[in-house]
Amino acid sequence: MSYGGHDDHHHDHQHSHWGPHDWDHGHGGAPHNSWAPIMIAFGSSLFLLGFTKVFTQTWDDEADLWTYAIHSSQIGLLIAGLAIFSAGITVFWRQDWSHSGSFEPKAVGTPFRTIDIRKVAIWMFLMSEMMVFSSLFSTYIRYRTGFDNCVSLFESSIEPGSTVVLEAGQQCWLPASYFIAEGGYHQANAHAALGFMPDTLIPGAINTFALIVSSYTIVLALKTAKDTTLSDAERNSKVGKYLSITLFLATLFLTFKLIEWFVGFEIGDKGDWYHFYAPSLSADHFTIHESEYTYCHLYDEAAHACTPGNEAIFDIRMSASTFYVTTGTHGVHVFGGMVALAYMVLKAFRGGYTPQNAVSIEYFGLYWHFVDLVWVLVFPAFYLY
Amino acid sequence: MIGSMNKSRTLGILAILLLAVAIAPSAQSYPTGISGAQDGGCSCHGQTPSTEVVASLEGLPSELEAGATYTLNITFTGGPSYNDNANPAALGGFHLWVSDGVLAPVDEMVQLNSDGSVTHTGTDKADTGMGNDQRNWTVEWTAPMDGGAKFILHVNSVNGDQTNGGDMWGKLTADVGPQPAEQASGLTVLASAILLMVVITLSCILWVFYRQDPGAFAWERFWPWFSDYITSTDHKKVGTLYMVNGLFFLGVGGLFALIFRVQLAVPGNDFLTQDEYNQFFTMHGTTMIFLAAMPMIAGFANWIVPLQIGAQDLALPRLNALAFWLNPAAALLLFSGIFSGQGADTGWTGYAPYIVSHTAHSGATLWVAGQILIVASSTVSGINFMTTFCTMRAPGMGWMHMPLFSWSMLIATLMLFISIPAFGIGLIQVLLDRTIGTVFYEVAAGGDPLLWSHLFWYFGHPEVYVVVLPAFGVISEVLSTSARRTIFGYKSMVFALAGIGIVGFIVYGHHMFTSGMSPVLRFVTMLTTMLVAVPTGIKIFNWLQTMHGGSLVYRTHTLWALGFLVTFTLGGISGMYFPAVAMDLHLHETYFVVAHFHYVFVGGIIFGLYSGIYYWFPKATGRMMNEKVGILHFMTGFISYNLIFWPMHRLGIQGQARRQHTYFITTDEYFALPPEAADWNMLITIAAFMFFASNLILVYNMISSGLRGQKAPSDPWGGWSMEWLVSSPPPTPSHDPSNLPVLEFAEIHGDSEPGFFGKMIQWMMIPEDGEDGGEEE
Amino acid sequence: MRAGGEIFWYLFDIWNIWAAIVCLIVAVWLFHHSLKYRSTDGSDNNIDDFKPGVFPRENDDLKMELTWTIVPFILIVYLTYIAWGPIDDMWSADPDAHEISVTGNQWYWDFDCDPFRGTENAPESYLPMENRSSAVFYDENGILICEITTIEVEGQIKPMLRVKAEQSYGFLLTSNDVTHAPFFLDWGIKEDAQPGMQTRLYHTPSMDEVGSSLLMCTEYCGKDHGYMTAVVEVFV
Repeated sequence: MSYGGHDDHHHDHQHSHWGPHDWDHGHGGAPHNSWAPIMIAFGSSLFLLGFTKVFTQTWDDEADLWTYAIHSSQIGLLIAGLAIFSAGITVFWRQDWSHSGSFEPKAVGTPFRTIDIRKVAIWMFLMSEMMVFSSLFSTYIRYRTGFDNCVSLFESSIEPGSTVVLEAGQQCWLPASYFIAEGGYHQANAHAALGFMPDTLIPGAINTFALIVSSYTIVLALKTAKDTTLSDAERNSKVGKYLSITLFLATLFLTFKLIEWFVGFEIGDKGDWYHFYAPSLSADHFTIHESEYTYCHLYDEAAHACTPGNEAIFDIRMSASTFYVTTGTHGVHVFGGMVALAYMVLKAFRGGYTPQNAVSIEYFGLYWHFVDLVWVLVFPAFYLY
Repeated sequence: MIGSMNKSRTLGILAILLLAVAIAPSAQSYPTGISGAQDGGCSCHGQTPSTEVVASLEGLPSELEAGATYTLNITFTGGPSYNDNANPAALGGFHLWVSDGVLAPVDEMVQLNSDGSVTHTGTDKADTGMGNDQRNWTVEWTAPMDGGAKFILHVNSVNGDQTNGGDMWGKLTADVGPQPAEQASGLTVLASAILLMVVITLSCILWVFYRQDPGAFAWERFWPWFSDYITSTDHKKVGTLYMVNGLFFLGVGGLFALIFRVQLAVPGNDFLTQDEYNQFFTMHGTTMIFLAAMPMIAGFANWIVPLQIGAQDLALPRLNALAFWLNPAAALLLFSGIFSGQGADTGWTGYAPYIVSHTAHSGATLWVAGQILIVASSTVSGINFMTTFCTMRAPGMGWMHMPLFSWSMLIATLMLFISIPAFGIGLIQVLLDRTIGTVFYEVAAGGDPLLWSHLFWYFGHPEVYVVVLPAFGVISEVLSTSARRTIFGYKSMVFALAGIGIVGFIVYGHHMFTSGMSPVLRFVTMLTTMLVAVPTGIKIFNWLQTMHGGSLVYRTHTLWALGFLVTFTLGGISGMYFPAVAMDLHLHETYFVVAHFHYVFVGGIIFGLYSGIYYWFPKATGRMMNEKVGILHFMTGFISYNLIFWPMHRLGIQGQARRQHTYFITTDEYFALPPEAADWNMLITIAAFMFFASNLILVYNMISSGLRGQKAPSDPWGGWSMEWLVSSPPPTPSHDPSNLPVLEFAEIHGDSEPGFFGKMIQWMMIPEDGEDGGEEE
Repeated sequence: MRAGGEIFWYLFDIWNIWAAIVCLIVAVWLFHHSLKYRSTDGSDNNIDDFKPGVFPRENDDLKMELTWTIVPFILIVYLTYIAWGPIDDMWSADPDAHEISVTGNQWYWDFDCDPFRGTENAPESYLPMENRSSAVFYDENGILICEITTIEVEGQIKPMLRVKAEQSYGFLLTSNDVTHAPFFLDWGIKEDAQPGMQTRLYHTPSMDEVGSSLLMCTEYCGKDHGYMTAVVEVFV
């Protein structure tokens, strides 16, 4: 409370608590004061408060279930929180802006002697990130193995040709791959003219490719930034370009993800030979609120309806919950990477990366490879299996 | 001129303080209270009160005569007794309670209850009275010798079909004579107390600022001074912020405990409503663990670790500040629920599916959101500390040369940040369940309640080691320095820490022995839990043996460390009762558990941290702490602490369950808690107030010694680790980065070469290319 | 009457003895060392020559450290061995046990003396009979095995479960809303009643346990958790 005694270091020269920091001077280099932490902390607090307000749900006593609503009038709090959070991040990065690599703290102790401290830190961070995704995957495995698959449940519990419809709302697992890889989406969206079940694996496949390529471009950016044979102007523009490509690929990833979730796409018109229609997952009723999903076991293409007796109503909310939350968490990581990339692109074009501080790109690259690697696990587990 | 202005301002602050004390509503409770049953209804049939049934109570005087006896007539109208009564034999019942004076039955239609209230006869089969075949009854009431009284009357209108269905009841309250001051609700008491604490804390900050240099006092200097603290990334200032935050919330958590101890002081109390009680114990646990214990530990770690391992600062100073500021930001979320009157009422474990059910308060959503920020804070600080330990140990300091406090922090941090993401993901799932409507824990959609238990305890059990290991570290430092001996068995201490760290991950199933988890898992965790006793025992015996051949210097921190040895041994041994599953089936969720974990949390962690405060205070402030006041703090604290928690063992074996709004005492009809339980509970409540008060002594001691204590030398206790190398208070940066200290050795060590794993890691590390290879050698 | 069952008290007594022995050792050691090895004149005798920044000389004894690793380990093994046996008693399903279903609700208990009535998953030994209902159960010989009535607990009407002494009972626990846990105070056993799951608890009330005792909820379940009580009576 009263540790006032060490008030003795009055700054030899003026550090800004907000803005660019003089990394080459001062005590050990790192900023001694920053408004960023307090802003980020209270910004995220306000954001979460706004989030819970916007999504406050009410219980319907009559129907004995939740009624879901979005209280958009409360969104101000959420936006204010986000704004303060972003301002905090901006302050943080403004202080980093001038980081030229002359101050790069190195490890003193064994066994990491002479390794950059930041490098060890990023590996530590990835260690905890690994636990984040492990927890998500263990949730997935728990539920995936604990649920009956809807298709086999239907096949095992219904007499062939009979018209018995299963009891409404039975819980079972209709995996995302049923909609994506197998094209077995809701019959309402099936296109009789096609003669085949269109496959919406395309966005996922493009995404996988995009992420892998972006892992390569970030390495190229690092390699270029370290290249001492290039002139400054040449290097700046090349590093900037590689980083921009990475940013573009990340944006592509999220765009396709949103298309796959909410938008869907259609190429050509009905009747064209190249006509292709792939509805979004939400249009296919693969949503977290789908407690009464109408499952069609055998689709009658001539009648544009389900063959009688081959229909059942299932509760597939759990499958959707694990799918959206796991892939969503991965998406949030990609988005975080995009924000960092945007900053790096800006810095690169202004000549911020030189062989002396190119390691910053490497440390971002470690994170980016990790995100890529997680996708390589998420993709087969959720899109193919 | 300036001096007088300062005086007037100081007086102004004092006046504000006084005003705050005065406007805080007085907390007054009825000594016996009314049975808690009253809130959920009465002894009546039917679920909800009905406006149809109108009770009346006649015969109360307008002017009360002290000691006089009045005859009261009780009647009611309406309800099934009047409307559609197929069976005129069963008409109704009543229950009349009065806060003061004596009630007596007049005829055999009315009987006296053990709590002094009266009710109709014929309440069950054994009772042959015809009192439940009436619509009016007569009782006598003798007024108290002074003051007035409050009556609460419940009447029941019965249709006589022998079931509760269709029956209705009504309620009437009446006052007579002068009334005592209105009883403040528990929430008001809490809010006022916390407000008062905030005011006092802010005043303390102002006062500290003023006292630092009274001569140069000027308000213009306050903001630069203050903003320097809140924007600081210096590990010492952030450590101070952590400590202030931790001690503040230790007080808040204590207030919660005091308020619900008042509720539990006597059986059948209604000082708090069920809703308030549930929120208060939830917030007590959450506050104590996440907002008091963890920040205090982080405060110590911030202050001491860089000094002790010979580093200039932590590895990532700005992220360190971020990790701190996430704590008060989380506290805002955690507490905004309770001040809206709908705070989380889930228990600190937040078990699913209750936490996602509609019966949980809406504040549970905010509680979950706040916990997410706590998780973020722990993750960030975990990364920071792990990096610091791995990279910033001073030259010459191998892994096996780190002081034991640093070792304990290393193991604790590693455990924390490997386990806490599981909790974070669980919280995110719950948050999404409660907001956008995912169904991870929705039983109707196939959600598994045990999944939450697994995710929570996978984190929750390592968490208790995370908070207790640093206390172990503090005790190791304090005992060794006080006994003037090297800690006995340094290596076995480190291996014991590591052993606890590893085994700690696979014992969590013992929290779920009664949860319906698979018997195989229960058996495995029973074995591993038993096994944890071995490394813990090694530590205790090593501490004891450290004193051998030493020259123990008794100071306050020594006393707290010896007190820790007593209480932690007791807490550790009571912990050994749980892994025996057959015993756990009885002890689970009783006060025996409460006693055990408070013996470990308070007797282990808080005692350890108090020892640490007395030990490192001179280093941090450059002032010695007052030993006499410190010993007073220890004596009062140690005694009252044991008075609180020792009887809880007995209560737990007798079967008092935790998290219950009140408890029942054995009657003729059934066996519950023996009557002595009421006395023990009263003792616990009184001792709790004493313990709270004793901690104020510490706060006083810290402030007054920090400002006026003797100047401290750089090594006041004669310790060996590197924090004693630098001046008190330490300079900034803590160790000169261009001239880092090099650890020397009293004996030649054979093992200063890296070991097998060290060589492995070094082999895997590709040295950074360029000019700097080997620069630091 | 006292809380806790036979097995609990059997183990508890053994544990108490060992706890007392360990406590005694620690206490004697602590008081002896802290008094004998105190600084008598209050001066600072720097026995191990502590100097800031110098790792002090070693102070250990492998034999002693091994002793207090191995001896507690043996004690732990012994205690585990003792605690092992009763687990089987508690968890092994008795095929002849009379099954009673216990269902938790916010905030009351539902008992059913005859949970297999009209269902298909009854055990083989189960014979449907006329004089059975959810509230009362007679065995083949017409002896009362289980009955449910009501009783007033602290002014509230609560269910009362009556069971016969020296009869084997299996409790089928489940819940309709959130997690609850019936705590049979007098028998010293409890188990969570989880929604969407069925857990089990076996007990044979002894003649010592004749009488009524409280049944509480011991898994926090919301507002009236503390009042979610019932009474269990063991009759002869």
